[in-house]
Amino acid sequence: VDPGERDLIEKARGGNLFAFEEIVRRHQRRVFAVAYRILRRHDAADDVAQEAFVRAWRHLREFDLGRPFSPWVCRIAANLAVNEVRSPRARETPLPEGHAETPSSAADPLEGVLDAEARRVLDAALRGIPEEQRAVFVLRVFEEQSYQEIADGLGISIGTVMSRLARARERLRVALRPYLGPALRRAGGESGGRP
Amino acid sequence: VSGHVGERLSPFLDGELDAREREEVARHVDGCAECARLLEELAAVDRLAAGEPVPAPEGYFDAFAGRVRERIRGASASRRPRVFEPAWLLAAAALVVAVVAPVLLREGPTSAPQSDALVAPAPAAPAASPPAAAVGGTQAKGARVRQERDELRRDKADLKKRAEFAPAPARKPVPGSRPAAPAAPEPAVAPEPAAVAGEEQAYAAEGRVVVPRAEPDAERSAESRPASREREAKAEREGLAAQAARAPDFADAPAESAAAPRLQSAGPSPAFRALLERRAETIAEARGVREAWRAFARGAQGAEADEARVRVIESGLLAYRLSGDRADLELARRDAAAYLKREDAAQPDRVRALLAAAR
Repeated sequence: VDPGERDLIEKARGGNLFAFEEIVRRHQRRVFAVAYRILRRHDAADDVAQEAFVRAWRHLREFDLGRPFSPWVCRIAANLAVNEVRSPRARETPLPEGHAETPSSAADPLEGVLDAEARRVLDAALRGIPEEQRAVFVLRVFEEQSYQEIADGLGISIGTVMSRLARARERLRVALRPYLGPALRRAGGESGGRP
Repeated sequence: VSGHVGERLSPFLDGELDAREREEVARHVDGCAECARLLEELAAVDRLAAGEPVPAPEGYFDAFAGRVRERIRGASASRRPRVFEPAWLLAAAALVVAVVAPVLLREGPTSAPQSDALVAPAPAAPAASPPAAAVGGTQAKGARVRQERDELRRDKADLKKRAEFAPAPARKPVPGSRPAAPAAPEPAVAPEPAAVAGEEQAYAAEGRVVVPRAEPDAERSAESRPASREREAKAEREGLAAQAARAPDFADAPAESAAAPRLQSAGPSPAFRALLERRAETIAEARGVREAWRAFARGAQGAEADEARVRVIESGLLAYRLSGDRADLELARRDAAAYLKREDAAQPDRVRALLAAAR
C-alpha cells in the first residue's frame, strides 16, 4: 500500500466514509472488471462490485496494511461473483448476448474485422466455461495473482487452482484456435524485436 | 492437452512449477514441436483474453463511488436498532397524537421525524453507531468531521496518481500469514466503521462529493425528500398515521412520487405495502422491482392496479438511468404508451412527466 492509500485506509477504518470513497474511486474499474469477467453481465457485475466494496468497508480492520489493497478487494469481488453465479436466481436467468462490438484498434481493416470477430468468439468462449474455472482464469490472467493467492482467496487448494486453470485454458484454446494467428504473430514480432 | 507434458504446460507458463519440474518441462518443450506449439497457443489465449475490453455505460464510473456510499449508509442503517427507524417513530407519533393530542396541538403540528433527511431508509441516528457514540456530542462530531475533511482535502492535493486501473501487483511468493479474503456469505467480523451522516451532508453541501447531473441516486434522493415529507404530512391529515400504528411498515414506504393517488379507504393491501417497501439501488434491483410491480398490476384492481402500472414505468426508467441500456428505456416507453391508452388511467399527467424527464 502506498503511503497515501495507507493513510486513506487508516482514516476509513476510523469511520471516514469520504476517505473510503476515494479508495473506491481508485479501484472501482478494476473491481468491476473482475466481477464482469466472471459474471459476463453488467447488471450483476454492478451489484457484485458494489457489494465487494461494502464488504471491504466492513472488514477493513482485517486488511493487512503491508499488502496492496487491490488484490484483496478483487478477491472479495471474485468470491461474491462465483457465489452469485451459483445462486438460483442466476441459474434462472440466461446470460445475455454479448455486448456491442467495440471499435478495433488495428490499423489494417481486415485485421480489425478479425479482431472484432475474435473478441466475439472470446466472449462466447468465456461464457461457455464453468464459472469456477472462469474465476480462476480471471484472477490469474487479468489480475496476475499467484496460485497461492487464488487458492487463499477462493478457499481451494493449489492443485485445484492448477487443474481449473489448465482446463479453462485448454477449452479457450480450442475455441479460439482459428483466431490465435494474429496473437501468435504479434508475439513473434515482439520477441523478434528484442535484442 | 494432448501431449507429452499435459497439464503441466499451464503452470509452466505461469512459472508455478518447482525448479525440477520446470527444468523437465523446458527440456521436453525444446525437443517437442507439438508441445512447443501448444505452449505458444496457450500463451496466445492469455494475450487475446487480456486485451478484452470491459463494457460499461458512459458515465457509469462517475456515479459508482456515490452508489457504494449510499449502500454503506443503507446497510449501516439497517443494522441499527429498530427503535430508530422512522416507521417506529411515526407509529409512536401516531399513538402520541391519539393520547395527548390536545397538548401537541397547542405546541403546533406533529412533525415527522427528520432523521431520514439524507436517505429515506437510513435514519441518521449517530448515537446508535458505536464510533459516532464514542465521539460525543454534536459539536465534537462536527469538529471531528471538519478536521477529517480538511485533512482529506490536504491529502488529495498530494494524491496526484489517480489512475483507477492501478498496475497489477508484482507476482511473488505469498507467505501463509496473509489473511484470506472474506468469503461470501461473510464471516462474523468486528463492528464495521460507521458512516456519520452529518459529515457527509457537510461535504455534499460544499461540492466535495462529485455527483454528475445524471447521477441516479442524487436525482432520486432530491426528488424523494420533499415528496417524503409531503406524503407524511398528507398521511397525518388523512388519518393514515393511526393506520401506521397498526402496520408501521407502511409509514416507511418510499415516496417516489408526491402524485400518488389516494388508495382505497380500507388501506393498501399487504402485497402493495410490501412492494412499496422494495428499494432499488442497482440495475438488477430496479429491473426486479419493475417486474414485481408488473406482476402485481395483473392481479390488482382499482387504485392499487393503477398505481402499480405507473410504478412499472417509474422503476423501468430508474433501471434505464442506472444501466444506460436503451432496452430499458424502450420498455418503459412501451409501458407508458400502453398505460396512456387505457380508459381507466388515473394518472396520465404523472406518466407524461416521467417520460418528459427521461428524455
